[in-house]
Amino acid sequence: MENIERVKGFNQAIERVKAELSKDVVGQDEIIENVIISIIAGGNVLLEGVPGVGKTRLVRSLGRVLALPFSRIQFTPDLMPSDVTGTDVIEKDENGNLKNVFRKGPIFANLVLADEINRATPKTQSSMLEVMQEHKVTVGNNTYNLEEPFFVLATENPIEQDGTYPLPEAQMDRFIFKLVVDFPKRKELVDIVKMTQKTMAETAEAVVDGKTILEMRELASTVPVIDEILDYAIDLVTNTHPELDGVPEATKKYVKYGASPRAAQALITCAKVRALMHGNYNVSYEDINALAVPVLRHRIKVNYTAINEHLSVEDVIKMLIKATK
Amino acid sequence: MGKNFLDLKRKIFCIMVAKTIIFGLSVGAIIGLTVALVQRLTLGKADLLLCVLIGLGAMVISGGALLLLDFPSEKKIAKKIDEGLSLNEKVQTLVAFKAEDGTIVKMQRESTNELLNGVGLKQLFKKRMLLNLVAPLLAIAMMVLVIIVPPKEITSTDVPPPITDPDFDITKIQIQELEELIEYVKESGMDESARALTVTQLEGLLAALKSEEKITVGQMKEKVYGVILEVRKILDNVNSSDDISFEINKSKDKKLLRLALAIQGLNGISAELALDEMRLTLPDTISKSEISNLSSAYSKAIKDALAASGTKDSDILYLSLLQLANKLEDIGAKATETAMIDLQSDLRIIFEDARINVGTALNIQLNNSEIAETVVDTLIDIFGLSLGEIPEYEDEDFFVSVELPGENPDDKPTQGGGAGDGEMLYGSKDKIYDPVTGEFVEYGTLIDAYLAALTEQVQDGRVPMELEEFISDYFATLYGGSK
Repeated sequence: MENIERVKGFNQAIERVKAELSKDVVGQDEIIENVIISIIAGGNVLLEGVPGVGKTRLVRSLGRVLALPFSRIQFTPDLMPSDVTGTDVIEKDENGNLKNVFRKGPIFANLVLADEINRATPKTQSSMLEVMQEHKVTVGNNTYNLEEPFFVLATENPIEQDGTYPLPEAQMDRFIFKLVVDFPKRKELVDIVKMTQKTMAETAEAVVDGKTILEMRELASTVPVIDEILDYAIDLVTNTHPELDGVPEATKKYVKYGASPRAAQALITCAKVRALMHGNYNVSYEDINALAVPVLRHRIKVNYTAINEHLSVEDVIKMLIKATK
Repeated sequence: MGKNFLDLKRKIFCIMVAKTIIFGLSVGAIIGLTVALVQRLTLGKADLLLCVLIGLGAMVISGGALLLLDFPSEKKIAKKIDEGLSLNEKVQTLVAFKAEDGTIVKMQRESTNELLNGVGLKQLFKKRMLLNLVAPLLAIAMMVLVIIVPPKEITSTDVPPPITDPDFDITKIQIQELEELIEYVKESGMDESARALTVTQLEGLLAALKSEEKITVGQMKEKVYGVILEVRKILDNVNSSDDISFEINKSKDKKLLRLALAIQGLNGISAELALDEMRLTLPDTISKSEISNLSSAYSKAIKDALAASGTKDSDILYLSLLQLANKLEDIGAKATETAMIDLQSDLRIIFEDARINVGTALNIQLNNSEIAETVVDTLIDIFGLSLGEIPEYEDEDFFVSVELPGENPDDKPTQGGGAGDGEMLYGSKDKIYDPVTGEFVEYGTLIDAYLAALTEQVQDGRVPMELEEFISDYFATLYGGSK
């Protein structure tokens, strides 16, 4: 009975989170849903969008709603790795003796907003790699574990590419999703303007905590997936590789390189969460198809043929979904 | 798994099997009725049994194939339900995880079962309802067509004409080849009387085929077959080998049996070997009276055979064998009064002559046979006849069955050293007179030398290559097949 209550509590928690977030964030329902999915799945998210669409506001609100220690790192070109991870400093103790003390960096939180991550240098970006994958920080000879649950929500601006450093593939692969935050629709913009005329303050309150998230994660992992769907997810990922035999024509024509095995893991893990969020107790093809774009868009590189034909990576992914049985 | 699912599964299974049966019946009916319709339109009436059999066959094959390809397994049924009711793989998950116990799996099972409560089969099959009706509707349409379309009226012109024997017109090439064949026979070394008769037959055939009288292919074949039979008859009349060998074969003596076999095969070399054998296998302890008896026995056997064969006394083979028989008779008469050394010498001369005479006679008859067969083969080629159509000409006395030593398990083989490793069966311990040394030696000691000499002659070309195998087989029988 307790377990059934937990399952029922899952959706209630999701609804509460969505309700709170909607107080601060207008529209962006799909983005919010996918961010929640990634948090429950235990992954990191990259949010891409033009300035002012609410990326940072969303993440800050999320931090409040989840009652998790939150920190924000504004990435700039002069940001050093130690500014992110922390560093050893020499201090005097009460006796006046000098000693080495590790000062934790802003990364030591549960929810980290890495704002404009593509403005940091590759050296600083790489300091995030270990953190994002292993939830650990190594400074000198010491390794510090980060408290679970731990997430990095990074943002980047697709315009103003001058003076920025595109994230390397190895780091891109660490993000479970890449979500594109579009310019709000007219009605949403009206609501935004009206709301912010009254107040710019963010009013969402905490409704779940870290322990609840971990429980939800454990629960979601038990959602059953039939072999056919597992095969489908794997086929979808393998079909992104033009060098393999039997891949769709679209792959050979438009894809330069395909997604890593992490994509297949991400698809299944997130599909389980999505299924449960939608009140289903099993993963379906619909779940996989719905998540294919956010999982694959940052893991596939299209070639010049696609660019010439004005095909975006999302267009190519949709072709692959159609071509995969 | 849930009662609702199991109920639905059972119903779907029955429907899918029924669908398969209906499909099979429909396909069988369509095919059978199509055959019937075609027959009615072309031949005027349908062969009911044929149509039914074809229809049944089509039914079994199509129904069986559909069942094999689309057997309604639990997994397939689950998929069908999911697709039919747009359940997003719920039922498939229920089936796949039926043995699991987790909280969510159980909840999934229960919620899916609830969804299946009261599900009608119509919902599942409505999408393909029309498709499922196609085959039966086609079958009904076919049946209606067969009933309403009138059969073709058969008139006399529709009845296929009986197969007739087409006319035969001899071509220039056939005439030329037939004339060449006639020339070949004329110039051949065939026995004079046989040659003349064969040429007469061929010329008669040519004249008949060239005449202006119309004949059919069947009539042509009759004429040619007639000529072939006549040629074989001519050969049988001119060659005495079959008749003589048949009579000699009745003797119990194995050496005479070998001679009979050689004569039947028109094999001069084998005949010579057989005659040598007769001469050489005399034990060293033989007395003059025994030589006398043996020679007389051979003489009598040969003479009896010749008399029984009905061969003309002018026949060359007959004459050569008669000469041998007469001379052996003389030996038999005077053996006791003649010195052993003279006896041996006379016997050697007698058999030497016989070798030459019999060999020559057989060669002539072989030549006759080969020419006759060439005529037959050429006629077959010229007129494109089938070997199976040619009537057999067989003289019922034709076959000579010769039981050679070693073939009868009751034969006691003669043990002896002899030359070589094999167990020699045939008189190897018998002593024979060696003219080189002037002594009596065991026959077996000379076998190898004999074989070596013959092999050399084959290699030198003095003995035809075609006889090599025969020679090998002959000596193999002496060794019981072991060499």
